[in-house]
Amino acid sequence: MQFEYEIEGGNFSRAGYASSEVKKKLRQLNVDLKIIKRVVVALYEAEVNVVAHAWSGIMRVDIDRGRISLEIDDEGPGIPDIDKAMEEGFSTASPEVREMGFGAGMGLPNIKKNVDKLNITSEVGKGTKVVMVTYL
Amino acid sequence: MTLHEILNTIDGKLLTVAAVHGCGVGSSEDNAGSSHSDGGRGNGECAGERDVANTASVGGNPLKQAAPNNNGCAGSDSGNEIAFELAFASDLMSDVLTLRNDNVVLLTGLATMQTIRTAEMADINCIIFVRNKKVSQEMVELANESGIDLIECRYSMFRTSGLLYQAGLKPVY
Repeated sequence: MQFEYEIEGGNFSRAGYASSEVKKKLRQLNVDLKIIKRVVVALYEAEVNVVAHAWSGIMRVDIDRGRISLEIDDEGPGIPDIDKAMEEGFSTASPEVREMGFGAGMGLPNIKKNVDKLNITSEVGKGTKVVMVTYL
Repeated sequence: MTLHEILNTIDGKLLTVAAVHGCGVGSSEDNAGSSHSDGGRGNGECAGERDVANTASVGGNPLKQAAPNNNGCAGSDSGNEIAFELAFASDLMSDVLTLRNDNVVLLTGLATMQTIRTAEMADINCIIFVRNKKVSQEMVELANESGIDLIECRYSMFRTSGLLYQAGLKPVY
């Protein structure tokens, strides 16, 4: 089963909508509640990252019997140093993002803790792709 | 602690009507054909006292009919109320998203849509907004859809935490 959602950069009031829809789908599929929580927390962190940093993004979800694969592909400034971005506490978030309760440099590390596989690729000036896989 | 006990402990004001805990992401189809047409609503005596009395719960699970009461409406309909065991106080949603626990009450001074979304993702069913922060109608609607109870509290974070700790809620860590 595959589906995708668009994510609008800068639209904080809508941030989380796509993750919420995915959560509903996973519930309908009777996925274990603990797994749903881990998956949607990672997904929501990634969605907030797109809203906070990028201009637009696409969330692609692919679910089969053995795994949930999530891909977030954005058009945005990209990440110059992914290793640095993975460090807890490192953040380039704007004051607006911090006012929303984010931007403490915890997003990517928290994503890593909540999925079984995480792969981030990025090109400065073009965008970032985050691929997360969770095994069922 | 039940929602009702929390409200009494902190003299809080309940803003939501959903209060069908643990089932907040059900689709509207979940309710189709349900015999519990009042699912998620308070009893008649309480309805008029709610700040937002008639916003329907989209995410209501017809199998769960508990409707926690507002202050002053003690008693009935509490059979399926969630028993909150833990509380976490933070204005940083990133910290909230690191929690693995269930049955957690969130205390925060951050009144934004992202607070509701964060609770939704973290399976948190009750948010207390401290320091007299005001919750918007948009937030109430999203919380109702997600089965999350929102409480406004005029006390500081410290005082609210202290009262709930004294009343039996435990810290997450």
